[in-house]
Amino acid sequence: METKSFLIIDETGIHARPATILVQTATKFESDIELEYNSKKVNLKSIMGVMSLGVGKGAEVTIYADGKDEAEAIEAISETLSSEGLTE
Amino acid sequence: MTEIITGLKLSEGIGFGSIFISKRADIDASEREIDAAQIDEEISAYKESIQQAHIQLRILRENVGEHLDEDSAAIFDAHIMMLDDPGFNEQIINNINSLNNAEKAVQLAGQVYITKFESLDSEYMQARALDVKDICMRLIANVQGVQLTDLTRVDEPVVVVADELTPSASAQLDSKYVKGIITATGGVTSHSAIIARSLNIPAISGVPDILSKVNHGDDIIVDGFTGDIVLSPTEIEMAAYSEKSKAQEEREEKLKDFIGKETATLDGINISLYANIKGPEDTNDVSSNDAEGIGLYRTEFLYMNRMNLPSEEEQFEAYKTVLSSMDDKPVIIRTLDIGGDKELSYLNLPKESNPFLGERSIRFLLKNEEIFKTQLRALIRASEHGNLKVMFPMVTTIDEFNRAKALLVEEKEKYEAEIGKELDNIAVGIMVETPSAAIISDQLAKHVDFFSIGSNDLIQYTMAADRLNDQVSDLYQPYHPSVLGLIKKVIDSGRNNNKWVGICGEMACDYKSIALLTGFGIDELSVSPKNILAIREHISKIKKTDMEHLSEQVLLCDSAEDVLYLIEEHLNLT
Repeated sequence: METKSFLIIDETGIHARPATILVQTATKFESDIELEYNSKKVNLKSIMGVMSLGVGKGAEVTIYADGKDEAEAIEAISETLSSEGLTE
Repeated sequence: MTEIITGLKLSEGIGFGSIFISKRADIDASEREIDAAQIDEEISAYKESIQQAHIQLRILRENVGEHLDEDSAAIFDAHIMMLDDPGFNEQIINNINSLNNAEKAVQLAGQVYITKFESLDSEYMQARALDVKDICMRLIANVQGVQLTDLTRVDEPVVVVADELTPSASAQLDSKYVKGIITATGGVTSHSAIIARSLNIPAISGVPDILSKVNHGDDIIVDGFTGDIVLSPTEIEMAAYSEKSKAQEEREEKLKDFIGKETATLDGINISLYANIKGPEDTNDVSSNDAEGIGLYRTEFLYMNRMNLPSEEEQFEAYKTVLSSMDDKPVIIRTLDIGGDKELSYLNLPKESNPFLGERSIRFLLKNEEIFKTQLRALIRASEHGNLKVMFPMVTTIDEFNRAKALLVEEKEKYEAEIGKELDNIAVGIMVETPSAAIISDQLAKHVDFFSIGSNDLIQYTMAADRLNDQVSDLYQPYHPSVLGLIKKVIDSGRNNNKWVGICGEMACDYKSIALLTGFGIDELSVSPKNILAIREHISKIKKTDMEHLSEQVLLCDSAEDVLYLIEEHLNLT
């Protein structure tokens, strides 16, 4: 199991467009990937799950990946978060 | 027989067409008992509905991509993704396994997410609930074999009538054929209202029983200027509205000539023409109508329709957005103006028997320093991003102004110490809304940087007539010589002390009072963005010297009627 935490700096948080792209990224991997915010965990491959967390600016989120491509998954997700301007 | 219904105006313009009823295949999923043997059948019906939805959404996305911007078309990408959502799918299958029929299973799963989205803090996320509803409706309609309304197949002028327009229906609107929209529900910031305005389609909502009153295919007229809906219009009415619509179009075209021009009288006196706004969402209207600045940013809207106070950060972002959108043009931000008719339920303020004479506006802020300081700090931080001027509402005494300003100075020094640099000076002025402030305006002018007359409140306090009480509405007289005398006093005090004087409120956008105010020597008018160009045109036709003569005479009149008569005579309106 790989895990990594992030601080969300985007003004509107994880809104529809970046959520879509995050889910697309996560779906490419075989590992089970979860997003935790406010002690609630959702499947990062579920757009509705991700959006229902209502992750806003200043939120601290944690990504969990479990499976054989877990390291690559975390790396790809970190990259997406930063290229979408969600994190530093 | 013709019937006229009046609703809430969402988007301006006049539209004609035959009624096109867009019924939602509501999440009124018929519930059927199924037994274990039927589970497989229901699951495959559900899977089939997903396949169909994929195809439908791809086609829709291609069609709308041609006439809508990429952001609006992207709604369908999110919808397509929702169809593939593993959590959503799993819940639906589980629901079917617990002996729910496919439609019911979709509805139950959808409801879980709809409730979740609706409970989130941000309005943006709450609006996503409508996307889930949209998807569920599509799936249910597919299972039932019902054709969902497809607006892309409309090929004659229609007026769309619906309970509410789903995001996917709104995205299909094509202004070539859709000439008007009427919805039972939906506010000014609803998705369909925003799209209607961006496509210039007249729209009206707030007509709860509309679907029971209209028949598919009948003629209808939508007047987005007045909010009127004309059912079964006669030919004469059709002709009259078509005339009105044409005249309006020509007028708007002509007013575009005034974009980029100075606001000046016929004899060359400049007047600053600024816009009133409620928040960052209005800044597009401000620039498209070529306002020269923002004369009144009503910050109370940041505090309303929510459960708690807005944070410093949230306020800072809103102020910064507005300031940066205006480059270096002046932006006058009014600090929180609540009390009177504007309540904030979450503050649980005690009921007052005379709220307009109670603890409102600056009185409230000075008693609730923490709330005031949070706002001041957000303003100070935002001041780095544009030309900010701060305005305190409903000041009655010089002491109130000095205490409010001292807080601003104190917060500014604290912030400067934190960031280790000095910020530019911030101009600080007041709204003149009480007779007291107007009468002592000469003394006040030595302390403030500017005045902005709030005509609506100044009239009600001068005439001692509650502007919301119909019983005394005849006494609410903008042209009463007493009101005009106070306005003139304020303008004179400003000029004698080299401080500029503006006015916001209804009087700033009435042709007759503008003429008078020009005569008094007003420096700035702040009006709703859509009125800017028409007022610029109006001012270009009047001479200040003529109006100066008029403004001396009106103060000697006995009554508002006499004043109006004099102005009309001067403007040759009679």
